[in-house]
Amino acid sequence: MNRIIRSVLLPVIYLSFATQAFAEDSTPNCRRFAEDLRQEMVTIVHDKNSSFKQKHQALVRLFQEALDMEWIAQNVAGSYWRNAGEQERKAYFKAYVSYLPNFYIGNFDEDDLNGILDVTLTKFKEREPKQYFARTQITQKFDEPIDAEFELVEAQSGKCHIHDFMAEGVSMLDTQREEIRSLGEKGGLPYITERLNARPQAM
Amino acid sequence: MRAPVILTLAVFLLCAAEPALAKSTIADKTNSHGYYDIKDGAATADVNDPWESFNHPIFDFNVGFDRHIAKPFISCYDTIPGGVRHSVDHFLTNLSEPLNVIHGILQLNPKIAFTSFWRFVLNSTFGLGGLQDFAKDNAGLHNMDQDLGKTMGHWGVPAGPYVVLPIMGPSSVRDTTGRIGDWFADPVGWGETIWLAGGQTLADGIDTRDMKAGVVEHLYYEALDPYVTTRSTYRQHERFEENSKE
Repeated sequence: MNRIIRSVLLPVIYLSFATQAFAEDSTPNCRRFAEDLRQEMVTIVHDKNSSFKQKHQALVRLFQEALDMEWIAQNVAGSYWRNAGEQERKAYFKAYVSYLPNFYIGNFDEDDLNGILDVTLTKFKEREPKQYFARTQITQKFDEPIDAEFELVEAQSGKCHIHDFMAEGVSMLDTQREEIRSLGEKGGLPYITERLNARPQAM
Repeated sequence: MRAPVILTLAVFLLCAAEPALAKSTIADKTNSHGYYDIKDGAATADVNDPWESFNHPIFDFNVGFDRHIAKPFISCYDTIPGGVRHSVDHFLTNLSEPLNVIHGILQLNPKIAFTSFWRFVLNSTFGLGGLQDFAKDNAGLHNMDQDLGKTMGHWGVPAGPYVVLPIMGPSSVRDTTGRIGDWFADPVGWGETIWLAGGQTLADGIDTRDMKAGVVEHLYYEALDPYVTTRSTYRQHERFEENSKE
């Protein structure tokens, strides 16, 4: 009798817990990712025990992890990437991964970081299956609040990454694409790589 | 008397720019590989820079001017405590509020008109003549920066070709016309002598360079191709402002 109870009841109990867990976990992965990212950024910026350099390094690491660097690097280089050889691609990718975070975070000074009061997630919606849009608002001590928008994509593995971000209507991806194109016209992927390597690298 | 001349000039420039505008519009953005094909010209959409050969030397001059004159000056200016510099910024912003009221009315946008009106009244009185942003801090009234370029954009006037102005930087035909129009339309300037008006313009320039220091550094000194990055940033932001409804 006990064996029957166990064999019937336990799966039912297990399933009910599993269903509950599933229900609680129904938040899209990318929403959790966006909220975690927001939280981590606030924690880094407000960390009183870290120096400015440490905060800067933490933000660069967060930037590199959150962005789909491989996709972005290929996307902005387009045909120059496709027409390049394996070695050229590797050299370009290495240079780009180092350049991009520094370009976007490099000129944050101490006042900029200290001036950030809070970051809030103000909008999140699914644009297409597995593609999401998130909007955050950065409130600042001295300036008007800034809206920063993100395009997020969920991979088959369930992992989320940022494909683009925009502030005041200026898209990182569009700007990068135009910039890389102008360099590519002068000498293809090797010239792009040369110019990337000539720029200041991440701290 | 001067307004019709400016408007005629703007219409002429916009008409001259029409073919270039049409040529640069590209709809399809992605290719079969799933990422952008640059050689197909996708990235050049809406660039509309038919006068690049004129703009580029002016841009190079601006970068040189910034490197050798504006930037060293701003480094000295930055030694003034931040609170004082922000008060200067508030004061100059407050002087622009009457013009914002006019543009709110011209755009038939009561929110802009009333917000700007009350910001001017509150900041000029309780904000110690505009040195403090009393209206934002106490009434939640944020500055809604407007100009004639935005008003023309509101009524469907196209931005026209990209223009780089000496010292002032990136602009478009519409926004350049707007700047000239605002110079005449600004009620604050009506009673000013030429010296006072010049002083206000200079102070505005210093304040803008100081407040936008991060952006200028980013575009002029850190970009891979400063000209292209500045143009792209300006154009995207311009489109964003056209599309955003207050």
